[in-house]
Parts: sequence; C-alpha cells; structure tokens
Amino acid sequence: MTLGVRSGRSDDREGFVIRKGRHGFVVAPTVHVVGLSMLFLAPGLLVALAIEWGSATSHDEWSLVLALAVAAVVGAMLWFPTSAGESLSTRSVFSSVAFSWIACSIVGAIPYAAGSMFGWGRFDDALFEAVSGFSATGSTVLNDIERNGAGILMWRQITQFYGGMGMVVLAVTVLPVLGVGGLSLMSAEAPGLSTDRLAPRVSETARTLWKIYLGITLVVTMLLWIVPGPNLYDAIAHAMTTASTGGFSTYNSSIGHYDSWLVETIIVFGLFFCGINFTLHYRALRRDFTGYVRSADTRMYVYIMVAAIAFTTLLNWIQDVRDTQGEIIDTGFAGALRDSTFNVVTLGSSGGFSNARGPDSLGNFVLWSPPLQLVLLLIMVIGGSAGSTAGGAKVFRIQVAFSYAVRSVKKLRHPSSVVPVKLGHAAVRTDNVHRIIGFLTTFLAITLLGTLLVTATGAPFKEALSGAISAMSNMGPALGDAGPTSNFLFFESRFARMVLVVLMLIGRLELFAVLLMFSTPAASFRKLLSKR
Amino acid sequence: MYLVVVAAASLWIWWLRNDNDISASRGFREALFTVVSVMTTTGHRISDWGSWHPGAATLLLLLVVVGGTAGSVAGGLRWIRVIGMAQFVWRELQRQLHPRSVRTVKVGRSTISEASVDRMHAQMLYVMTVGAVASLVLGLFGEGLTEAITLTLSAISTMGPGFDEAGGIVTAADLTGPERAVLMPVMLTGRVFLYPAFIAVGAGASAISTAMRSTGVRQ
Repeated sequence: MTLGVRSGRSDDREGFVIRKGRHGFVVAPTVHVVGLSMLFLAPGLLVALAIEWGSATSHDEWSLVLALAVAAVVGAMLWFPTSAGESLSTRSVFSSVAFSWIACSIVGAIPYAAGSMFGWGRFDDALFEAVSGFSATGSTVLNDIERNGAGILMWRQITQFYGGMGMVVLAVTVLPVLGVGGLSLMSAEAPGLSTDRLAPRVSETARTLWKIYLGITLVVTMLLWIVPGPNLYDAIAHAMTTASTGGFSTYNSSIGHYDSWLVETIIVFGLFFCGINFTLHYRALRRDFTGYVRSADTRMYVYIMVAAIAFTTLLNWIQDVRDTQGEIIDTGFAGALRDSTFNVVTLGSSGGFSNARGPDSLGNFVLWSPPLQLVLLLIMVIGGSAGSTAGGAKVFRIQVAFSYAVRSVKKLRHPSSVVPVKLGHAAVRTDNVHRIIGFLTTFLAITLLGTLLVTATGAPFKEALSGAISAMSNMGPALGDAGPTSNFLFFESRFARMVLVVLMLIGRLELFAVLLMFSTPAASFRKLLSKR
Repeated sequence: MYLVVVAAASLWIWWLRNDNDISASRGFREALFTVVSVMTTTGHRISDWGSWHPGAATLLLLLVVVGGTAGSVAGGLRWIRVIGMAQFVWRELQRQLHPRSVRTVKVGRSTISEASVDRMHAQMLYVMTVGAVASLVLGLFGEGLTEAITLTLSAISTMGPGFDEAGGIVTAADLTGPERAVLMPVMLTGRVFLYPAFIAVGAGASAISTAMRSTGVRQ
C-alpha cells in the first residue's frame, strides 16, 4: 500500500472570516464545511422523525423536529454566505473537521436532551450518547434502552452510521472545487494515515467510499432480515451499526437479545469485513482480489484476529469460567468458540456489540480469566486496519512501531548501518515513521491522562483504564463493572463521563485534528489583533 | 522539573485524600514520603498506598514507571525521556501545520540527536511490549488484571510492589514461585535497561541463523 503524505498548503492566509471571495462570498472554509456537515444531518433526522411519528409507542416527535430545525437553519446560515475558497490550508483542514464533529454532536444530542430520554438537565449525558454515536464508539449511559421510542432509537443508530464513514467525507461529496485540500480533509477524518485517491476527482472518491459503505450496509441488512429473529427495522438498525463498527443496539442486551448464532455470525463477518481498508474493497469490486493478500496490514489484522480467537477459545474451554454466583459456566467447545469469536471480533474491529444472554453467560467477557481480559484490552488498542471504519491505534501503526523498535537495536549493534523501517516489504518514509511514533506516544499519553482524571473522581483503576482505552479506541464496553452487560453510568461523576466524551472525539479523529483545532481560530485572532 | 513533579504530585494526592479521616499534616507527610519513595523507585512505605484514593494510586503507578532523573540510581523510564518524547510530539504537531519545516528536539537548551530520539521511543515501545507479555503470563498464573499490570510495571522500573483491586499492596512475598520467576527477567531488563538484553537476544538470534545458514537448513 502507499503511504501518502498528507500534503496541503501550509500558508495561513485563510482564517475564519477574513477576506471576500470572488463571488461576494466570505471565504471561511471552516464555517462552510461545518454548515454543510450540519445540513447533511437533516435527512437522517427526517428518517428518524418519520419512524417516531409512525410508531405506536413513540412520544418524542417534537425533540426530533427541534433538532431538524436547528440542523437545517443553523447549517444553512453557516453554509450559504460562505465559500471554501479554491484550496484549503492545513490549518483549516483540522479545524473544519474538528468543529464539524463538535457541531454535529451538539445537534445530535438535541433529540435526547429535548425528549424524555434525559431532559435538558442532563445535557451532558445526551452529549455523551451523541458523541458515542458519531464516533461509532457504542458506549451508552442509558439504563433502559428499550424504554425509548422507535424513532429516537433509530436516530442513535443513524448517528453511528454517519460517524462510521464521517460527516466531512459526506460533505466533500458535494464540494466541487477542492483539489488537494479536499483529500487531506478526508484524510483528517477518515481513520487511517491516508486516503487513497480512488477517482480523479476528490468528490468522486468520497462518493465511491460512501457507495461501498452503503452497499455493505444493504448486504448486512438483507442477511439479517432473512434469518429468523430481526424484523426489517432491527435489521436496518443493526446493519448500520455493524458497517460503522459502532455497536449501538436497540435492545438492552444488544445482540444477546436474539440468542441466535446465525445473527451473531452475520454480525461477526460484517464487523470483520468493515475492519479492513475500504480501498481494498473497492479494488475487489474491480475484480482485483489480490489486494487483500498483498496488503501487509490486512494480513496482520487477520493473523491477530485468528490468534486472539484461538487463544480465548482454548482458555475459555479449558478453564472454569465462573458466573457472578460462583457457579461454573459449562458451554462446551462450541459455546466457547461462539462467545470467544463474537467478542474478539466485536472488540478487535472496535464494534462493541455484546452477545451476552445475561450477566451470567459466557458472552459477558468480564467473567473471563484475567489474561483473556488483557488480550481483549490489547486488541482494543490495536484496532482495525487503516482506511476502515474501525477504531483503535490501527494495525499498520503497530507494525511500523515494531519495525522501528527492532531497527534501533540493530543500529546499536551496527551503528553506521542504514536500516529502513518497513511495513511488509515496503520501506516507510522517515517523516511518516515519525508521525506514526508521535501518534502512538500521544495516544498512550492521552489514554494515561484520561485514566488519571477518571480515577481522580473515585472510579477504580481497572474500570478507569479500560474505560479510557475503550473510549480512545471507539470500542464501547469496558472491563469490570462497566462491562458489556452494564453501562457507563458506572462512572458516577459527570466529570469522568465528560473526560470520556473528549477521549472518544480525540480517538475518532485520530488525535491531530482535535489537538490542532484551535490553530485556525488562533491564527485569525492573531491576524485581527495585528491589524488593529 | 523533577522537583516540580514531586511537589505537584504530593499536593494532588494530598488533595484527593483530604476528605479521609486523617489530619492534614499527616496526610501531606505520607503523600510526600510515598511520592519520593515511588519516584526514586525505592519502595519504602509508611502506609498502604494501594488503599488510598484510586486517583492517588494510579498517579503513583505512573510515577513509578517514569522514575527518577537520568544518571541517578533511581530506576524507571527517567524524566529526560518523558521530556524528550513530549518535545517530539510537539514537533510532530507543528509538522502537521508546516509539513516542510525542519526542527530539532530539545531538552532544556541542548539539542538531542535524531538517533537518541529514536532510541527513547524504541525504549518506550520495548517497555510496553515486555510489560504486556509479562502481565499476560502473570495473568495465566492466576493473578488478577490489576495485580498483573501493576506488578509488572513496578518490576520493570525496579520498584517492587504493586496493588490489587481491593487496595492492598502486593509484594513478591504474596506471589508463587513461577510468578516470581516471571518477574526476575523483567526486573533485570528494567535494571540494565533493555538494550543490552535485546542486543543479546538479537546477537543470539543472528548467531543461530548464521549457523543454520552454514549447515544449509535455510536456503
């Protein structure tokens, strides 16, 4: 695979609102992209609204109407009077993406806050639910999911669907003028190091990615619909969160609700497939299937998954796993294989579904023995491949890091040797290596800082560490008492949950966009000051 | 830097434990003593810090990993590396905005060569890898998740005790024979600082592969 450099114009001519464009528009790329992303929420809200209106049990239409109005009016107000200019500066790329996500999260939280789910007094929890949705994390702060109306629940699923591929990629599909800047806009949002150009035009590349994404969702929907269990509504709802490797479900016990190995198998394959680079799926559509085999990080992703499944299945089969009452859970080999495979794949692809049929079943992985939970934590951190909808640090970064570490030892033995850092057989450029190492160091530092802040509120070490890792890798459940059959209300302090919200956003946007988001406003502000 | 961290960490822990039923002066004394003991990877203790506020225990664990300053007898990753890595990350962030810029990594006023910047990060990666493997093995011997992680981190920075979920301090005395055997190489790699250990492994591996090549096992 090619490790493209995120090239962009490094001049900082374009600030927030500085100069007039050619057609009388104000050139403000950040505002323009934020407005457009918000407008794109409208169709999703409309669908949720229609379902809420039509369903017998619903009661929260007006909260969806309010969100729709805000998305449409504010989005249009930001979008129409501005333009993105001819090319984007690197600064604007980061701030466009980060501010779009924050704006969309706030709009996405309105239906939860305005309705009976939380109420305005718990806007922070509504925001948690929205960010967990858009970042395709799948952690929830809802005690009883099924209490809510069908439309609101569908909106939760739709937020994950948006977030899986990204609202900004969606916005790019209709931004015609962007050249190089548009591609970096997508790279800044789409998981992975770079977005490979699939078509000559950037907007076409974005459209292709969304088409593949929609296609996978449709296939999973059909499969889920024909097997016994899910009806059409359930099938669509879960297909959307499978394709985005999100993990929200409309049921309290998630996939465990169906207790069907057929449904679990479909979800496992769907998640596994979506943890692989979408560029390779595109090539496969063009009948070039060798891409999967040639790509070093896809191979490693498969190895890691298979090894983790084998290890967990073996130990869960041999060891006595005890339930919450201390009774031994006896599922036999088939049961161990089923529950181990499901949970390894759902955590390794950053899905975060649960197939636990109850707190005392083997699907509840907090009952597993400690080394298996460590394995789960490790695959959570590693995550999926670049260019997929999965989260985590990404497999190729770990590979590059290992190659880099081995090189430093080789260099100590042969100090003047020149040893390249490799990914598969290809050498990786030094600036890319440094970016990857910088990424991993920052990832580690932010995770530890998050753990520290969460424990400072009184949460125990294990839950705090796994919660921070889970949020950072956009996973969903944590270990211990915040596990798959529980929820993140375990973190009693509101401050702790807000820390996790920030981690989810940082993790989804792969650190740099969020860390650099204030650089455009700061540059504009500096310019304003210097003019005075 | 080191002194600032000692002061800040002590104050932070003191503040977190403030609502407990201990006097302010005693709380501060305990906090300061434990922070210094942990940061110098000494391992003395005057109270069961594992049972302190979880935030305090976690902070202490992180301090254990970082340890003392370079050139001292304390163990751990050393502060100079942490500062170096922070500078490196800052440079990477700047590079995102100015892709063609050339900057150096500095600690204080002195510039650090790219080779040692590489070594710092490689070292951290090795600590992580050894830590992950050792915790996994400890887990296989039946230690809980928290115990396995804290004991390994503590051993790798040559401090000693870890803590468990209930808040007790776990020392080597609480472990079984094979578990101690796992921690021994971990402590050694931590003390002689990884590189010699890995170079030894690397040299052994290349010797074996040369031998195999000469006997024609590998083409």
